[in-house]
Amino acid sequence: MNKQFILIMLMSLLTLLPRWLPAVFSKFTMPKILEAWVKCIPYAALSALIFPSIFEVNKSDIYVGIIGLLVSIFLALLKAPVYLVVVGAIMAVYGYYSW
Amino acid sequence: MNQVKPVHHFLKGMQLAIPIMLGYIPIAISFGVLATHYQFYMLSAVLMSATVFAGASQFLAVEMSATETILEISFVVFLINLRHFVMTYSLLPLLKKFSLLKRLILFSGITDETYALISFSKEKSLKTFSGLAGLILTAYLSWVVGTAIGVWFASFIPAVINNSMGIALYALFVALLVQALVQEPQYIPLAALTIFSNVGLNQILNATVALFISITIIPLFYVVLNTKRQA
Repeated sequence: MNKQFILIMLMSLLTLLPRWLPAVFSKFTMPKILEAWVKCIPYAALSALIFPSIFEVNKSDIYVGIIGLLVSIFLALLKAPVYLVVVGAIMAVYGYYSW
Repeated sequence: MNQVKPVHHFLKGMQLAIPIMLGYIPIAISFGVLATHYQFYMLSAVLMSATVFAGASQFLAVEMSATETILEISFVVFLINLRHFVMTYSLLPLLKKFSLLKRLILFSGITDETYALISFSKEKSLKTFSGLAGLILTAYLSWVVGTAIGVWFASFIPAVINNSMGIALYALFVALLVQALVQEPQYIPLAALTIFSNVGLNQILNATVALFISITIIPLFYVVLNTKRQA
């Protein structure tokens, strides 16, 4: 419990700080380049979190990651809600394992 | 009549948050299920939703918790949630008339979704504190209650599915990324560049260092390159 509690409190603090700062320093003008950089981070983070580790979901079978990836991209492009993409990918991988 | 008004705005704010609520609940349920799957205590999962209230970063923390240290996870979470700074900053003109305390309360509840709704809505109620509070509180409670439902639901998921659950987080990340890129195609080159560099960096560096470079230096490089090209 302790380790998870410390992690959660630290995450909470580090998430609230950026949300709160503008309320205190309302006179600050943000440089354009900083704004552009900060907006880019989530796209980069998601990309880097998916690749290459999705191919190591199952370390002995790269096809598990490939199937999950393709099914997720396909469902997301069909504009399926996020939870359906997740359920679809789980089902596809489950199907592959049972087959 | 004047005394009825704040309640009216509050209820209007709640009503405006219904689409967010419908979006949050299933994702929060997935979060509760996955956090439990990754050995988080039931209470920890709900506490994280209640004190962090930032979806993508919570999933990421759960995923990293298997391999990374607390400091590494917190730092990546910090970087990902830095974008809220830009959002609350751009909401300042709207909230200037409120006291500091009220601003802090409202800013605590800013997420991608509440921000989008607040900044693009023309509703009069969303110019008032009660209206904004109603909207944010509804979104927040959906997230926390959804997580609690997910944690409870996790115990009913049959063990045979467990083997296949490893793909779930990646599927979620793919869904978020694909949908974001469909809406903001100007970020497709950045995504491609990051994927390319992160795959390459993983061959020569440890995964944490590679991730760190990929989510700080690569976007910075991309932004500088873009500004140069436009100039």
